[in-house]
Formats: sequence, C-alpha cells, structure tokens
Amino acid sequence: MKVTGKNSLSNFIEICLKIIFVMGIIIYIALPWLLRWYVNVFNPILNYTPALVILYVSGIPALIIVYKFIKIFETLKLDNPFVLENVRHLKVISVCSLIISIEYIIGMFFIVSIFEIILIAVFIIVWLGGYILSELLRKAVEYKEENDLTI
Amino acid sequence: MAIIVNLDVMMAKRKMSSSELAEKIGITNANLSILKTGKGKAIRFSTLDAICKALDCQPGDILEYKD
Repeated sequence: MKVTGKNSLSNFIEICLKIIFVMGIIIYIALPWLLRWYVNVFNPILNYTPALVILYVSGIPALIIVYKFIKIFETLKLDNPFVLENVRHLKVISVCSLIISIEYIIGMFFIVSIFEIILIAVFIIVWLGGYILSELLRKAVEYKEENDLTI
Repeated sequence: MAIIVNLDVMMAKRKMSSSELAEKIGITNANLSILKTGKGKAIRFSTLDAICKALDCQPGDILEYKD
C-alpha cells in the first residue's frame, strides 16, 4: 500500500482526522449537555463545573492540534512534506500539547483521577517529541533545499 | 559568494538556446535557469563536464570569481 500521495494511507488518515475535527467541534459545542448526561449516567461523584472548565479550556488547543495535523497530512498528499510550513505546524502542535498538559496539572487540584495522570504524561511526551521532530524536519528541509539547488 | 556563472555569455557565443543546451546536458529547463540566474548553491562535476562538452569550452569560461 502506498504511504504518501493520492489514495494512500496518509490520505486515509487525513480523512479520519477531518471527521475527528468535525466531531470534535460538535462535541465542543455540545459539551455542557454531554457532560451533564455523563455525570448523571456514569459518574455521579464527578465535580461538574471544574470538569466543564477544564474540558472547555483544553478543547481549543486539542482542536488546533487536529487542525495542524490535517495541514501536515495535506502536504503529504501532495508528496511534498519537506516545507518550512510543516516545521511551524509541528511547533504549534508541541506548544498546544504543553498548554494542555499544564492545564491538566492545574486541573489535578480540582479533580484527581488516573486518566488525568495518563493524559499529562502523554501530552508531555507529545510536547517534547513534537519539538524534537520539528527541529529534525527543519534540518531535513535545509538538506532538501541544498540538494534541490545542486544542479 | 563571489562566484559568477557566465553561462549566458558562452551560450551566446556558441549561439545555443537554453532548451537546446538543457537537452544536450540532460537537465531540465527549470534547473538550467536556476544555474543561469545564479540561484543555484552548487554544481555537480558531472553537470560541469556536460556543459563544457556541449559548449566546447573550459570551466573557467563559465565560472568567474570576482572580489
């Protein structure tokens, strides 16, 4: 199976990301009702207001991350991922991950759960990984430009 | 950098068009224009070899160093 280009794996993942993005926006708008329903049905001891605030604040960086991934996969579709734009996208993704992990660390003071610790760990890893990968990509872009301009 | 590519001068002397030269040395027109406008960062020895062969000249006729 092709990994990049048209009708490839990256194309399929891009479509999945677009669906996730749209669903994320719908969930974000419907958050008060969804959370009320969740508290009533599954988790009656959950503190409604702090949970709502945490989810609302972390929702925006999360949506930005998905959006930036869509942008990166769009360049993969064109078979041209080594552009400085993607370096910027990865930087934004890593900063958003840092914001989310900080938000959840603050959230720990209000709601303590094992999922929060996992989320914090995951987003710290994405933060560091995204930053390192963006620098790696910058080097790759420089090499590619050098190579393209060697005739 | 003070290396100047004088490819147009040599091409004019030999009365050769860009596309003709590009075809002779086996590179695309786009790459040849990068070379001619001085946007290129490096030139392969094989390309230089082909240019010198096609234009029947020396590398010094194409490349020039200016302070």
